[in-house]
Amino acid sequence: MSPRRRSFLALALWIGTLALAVAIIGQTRFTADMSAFLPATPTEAQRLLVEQLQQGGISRTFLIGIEGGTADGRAAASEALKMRLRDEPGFATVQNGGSEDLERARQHLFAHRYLLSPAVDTAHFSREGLTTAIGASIQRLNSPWGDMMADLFPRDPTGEMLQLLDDDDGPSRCCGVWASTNGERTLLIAQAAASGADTDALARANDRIHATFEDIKTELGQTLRLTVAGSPAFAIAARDTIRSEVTGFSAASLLLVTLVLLAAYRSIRVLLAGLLPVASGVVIGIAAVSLGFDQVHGITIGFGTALMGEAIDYSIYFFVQSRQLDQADVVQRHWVRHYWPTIRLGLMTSLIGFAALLFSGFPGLMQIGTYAMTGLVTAALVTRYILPLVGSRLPRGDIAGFGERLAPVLHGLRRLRVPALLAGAVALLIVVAGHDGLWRGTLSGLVPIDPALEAAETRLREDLGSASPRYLIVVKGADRETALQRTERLTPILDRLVENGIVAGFHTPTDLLPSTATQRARQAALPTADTLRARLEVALTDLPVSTDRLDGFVEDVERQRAADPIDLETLRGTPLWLAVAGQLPSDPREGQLAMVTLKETDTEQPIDAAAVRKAIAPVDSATLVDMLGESNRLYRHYLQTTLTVALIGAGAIVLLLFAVQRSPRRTLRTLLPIAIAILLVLAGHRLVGGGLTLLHLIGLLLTVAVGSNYALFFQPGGRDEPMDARTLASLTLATATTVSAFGVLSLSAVPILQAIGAVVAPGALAAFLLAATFARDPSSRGSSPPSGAMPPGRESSP
Amino acid sequence: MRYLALPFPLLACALASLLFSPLAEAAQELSIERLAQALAARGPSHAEYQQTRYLDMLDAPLESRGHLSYRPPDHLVQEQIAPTRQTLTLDGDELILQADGRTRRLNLAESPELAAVATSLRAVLNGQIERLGADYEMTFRSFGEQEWGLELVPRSDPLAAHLDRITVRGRLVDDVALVDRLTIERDNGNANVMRISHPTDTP
Repeated sequence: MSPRRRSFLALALWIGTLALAVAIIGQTRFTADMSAFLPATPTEAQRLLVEQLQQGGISRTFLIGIEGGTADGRAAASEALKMRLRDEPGFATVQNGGSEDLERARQHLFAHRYLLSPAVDTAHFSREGLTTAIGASIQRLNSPWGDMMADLFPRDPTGEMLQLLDDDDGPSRCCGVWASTNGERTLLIAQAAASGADTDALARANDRIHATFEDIKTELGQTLRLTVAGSPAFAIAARDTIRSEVTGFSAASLLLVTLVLLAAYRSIRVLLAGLLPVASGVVIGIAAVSLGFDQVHGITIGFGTALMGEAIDYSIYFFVQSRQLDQADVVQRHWVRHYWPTIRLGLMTSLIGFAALLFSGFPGLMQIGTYAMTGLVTAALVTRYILPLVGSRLPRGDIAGFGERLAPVLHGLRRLRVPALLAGAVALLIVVAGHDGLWRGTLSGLVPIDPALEAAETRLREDLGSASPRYLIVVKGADRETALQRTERLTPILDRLVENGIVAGFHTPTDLLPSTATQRARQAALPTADTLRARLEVALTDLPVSTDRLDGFVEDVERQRAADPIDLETLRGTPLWLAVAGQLPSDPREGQLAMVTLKETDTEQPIDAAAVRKAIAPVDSATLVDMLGESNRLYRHYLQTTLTVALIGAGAIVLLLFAVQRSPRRTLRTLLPIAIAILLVLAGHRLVGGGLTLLHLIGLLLTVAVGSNYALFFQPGGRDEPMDARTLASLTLATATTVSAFGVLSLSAVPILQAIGAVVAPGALAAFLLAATFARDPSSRGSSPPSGAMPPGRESSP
Repeated sequence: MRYLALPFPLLACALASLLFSPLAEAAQELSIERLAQALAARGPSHAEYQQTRYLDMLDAPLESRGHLSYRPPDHLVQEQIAPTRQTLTLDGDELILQADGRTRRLNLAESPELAAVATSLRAVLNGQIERLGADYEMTFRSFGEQEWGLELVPRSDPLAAHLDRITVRGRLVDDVALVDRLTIERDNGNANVMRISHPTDTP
């Protein structure tokens, strides 16, 4: 094949692949939701956790507060907001504790009190039982509070209603609606109809809340303020921040890189040609992710492109290093012979590094890994086969002079080998001594959290009296009835745990929705009207009330004895539905789940999980889930996996370098700068930063990827000439672009970007300087084989 | 879930706390203004009570007894001793019931109905008895120089929906106005009669 034909083929293949990739991208679904940065799930409890985080009731419930104006104005705004949002299809339910809601709940409880009250059994409705219960109710009537219960007595002389209302504290109320304790804020909760994973729909719901409130505010003519918090608000804010920061900081990085390159090339055409590898990498990378995954996350592109920063280096190497030759085919041959193998080796080490991402278990990171690896390979191939065709003849500034001026400085660094080794040793000590606190074992910090929103969340949660539930007992059943029956068996066990002070309280769905079996059993314990009347005649002998006054009671018992048991649908339209349905998620794989939330006795102290687990063991399928502990355990699992894979990758890189360089000494010298750079970054973060996260680990992988390129150029193969001025200049330029691009990222408020930036910028700089420090000595020029001929003394002495 | 009826007894307690308001100028005719002045000037106080409840659905009235105590400006405690020990406390806007080792709390700002009662309560406790005129038809009577009576009839809902009238009977002893008897009549025919005995009654 003639060179001309080969060039043509390469160009055709490149353009064809790009066209195909563009076609694929045209079909791609892009999403912006954050769930990709929640781990995919290995165990059942963890899968449940992630599902709860992604879709559960909590994840789509907005907490809303209205402040300012007058108390009546706030109450009116609360009512109006509730009524209008309720009519919107985007909301499943909206509640504000309004009196008609409470009345509806009360009516439901009252109408079903004999099915709901745990006191109902045969003994309770025996003659003695009735005497005791009615006697107790009369005692209650004769109390300072008594008048307030007098209305209930004739229909509920056994006091079931009081039982049902006993534990229900609920939020404070003011002026007929939920309010903060000090009355300065009215409160609502609104549950979006969409899944908690659908951030776009949640954002629309959020917009509707704000827009509706603005209308109401105008109509009322008061200076009211709206606060919206809750998990969906966090998801939306995180997405918005990430979106804007990824865009903003990527743009800033790009601008900086462009300016640096423009200064070096002094040619727009070269600059544009230099972007060809990266641009091709972006296009083909997106297409590859699209083929491998359902949808492409917006973050993947913003973030993965940063990882592909190495690809910019490729074109820098090409344009700077091939400057001296004018003929295209000569350029190609020379550059390909002298420099391409080094770049290819660097590319391979990078690929091994990024492969760790594919095993991280975070779908988002797996996407980024796929994207960065495909993109890098593409960029390298474009640099190798396309750039020589289109870019060789382009006139450009020569920065060889810059390299020549720089050479003595970098050469001088060799005197610092001992200090560099010492610094590495100190860093190693810091890392080893402080390895306990080096990695942060919590999931928090993966997504940016706005402190103002967090404060609003805390305030509203306190107002609503809803602690964010950390401890759940999950019960499974083939159907709802089975799950409810099993859950009911927990109640006496948990009552005992409350008595023993192990938990402060618990919230079970079976309080409001007992199993059908239990409801039937309670119905069976209710006597017929005639029997009840006969029993009352005797039971009331010594009490100041006569049977004919309690006709309403007899009627109600008779009606509920024959009524259909309550099911979840009966609760619809009452404010009770939200609470109960939220605790009964059904799952295509697990069947029906029921969740019982536990209240800690002390929020600072975790509950005695072992004691709870032991106590609930007799109940089929009951599992205690510590949401916080579980998510942290989950995260640690992923961190551990990724760390292990990264270490295996490091081992693979060592083997690869050794296989290619065939000299332990050279491999050592290649690896030493990278290793010391990594140690310095780790030690630095250990000393000043918080713990390192999975994201820092990714930054370290990238540092290894770019650092290995520098080190390889500073350790050329045996017969190659040592580094010339242009190569030195190209490396310096590559380092400058990397450090400036990632330095900008380290200023971001988004932890994902900040973590990577704060690792890669100092890491790349250190790797470059250290690579220069440990560069092969020029005096070994021409010696062959180089490593064997080098006197040992020269190696280590400065 | 709040469904219980309104805490009218508290209003009675508040009125009962007029019990030993000293009347500044004993020589003057008793009047509602003088009563208000006395109310505004009073300090902490304490008394015992006996209460009889007449409930429509019960064949016999219920008897109970206990202590009342008041600390300005808005701390009021009704402590029932027999037949069961229960305590009802008004602390600012918060109502607290303690019985059988349990505590229940209720905020008076919670609903319009409760707020109406709260307004009356505050008016009485702060000595702004004239403010009651907005919600109640007030009739003040003096029976000679020693005895007086005050009748409150709610003018409109939500109070009128539940409450027929509150009647207070008192006397004047050594320039101090004492409440002897407080009657609350509910719309459903139920009634409470509270008889109050003062420390000054037992020499």
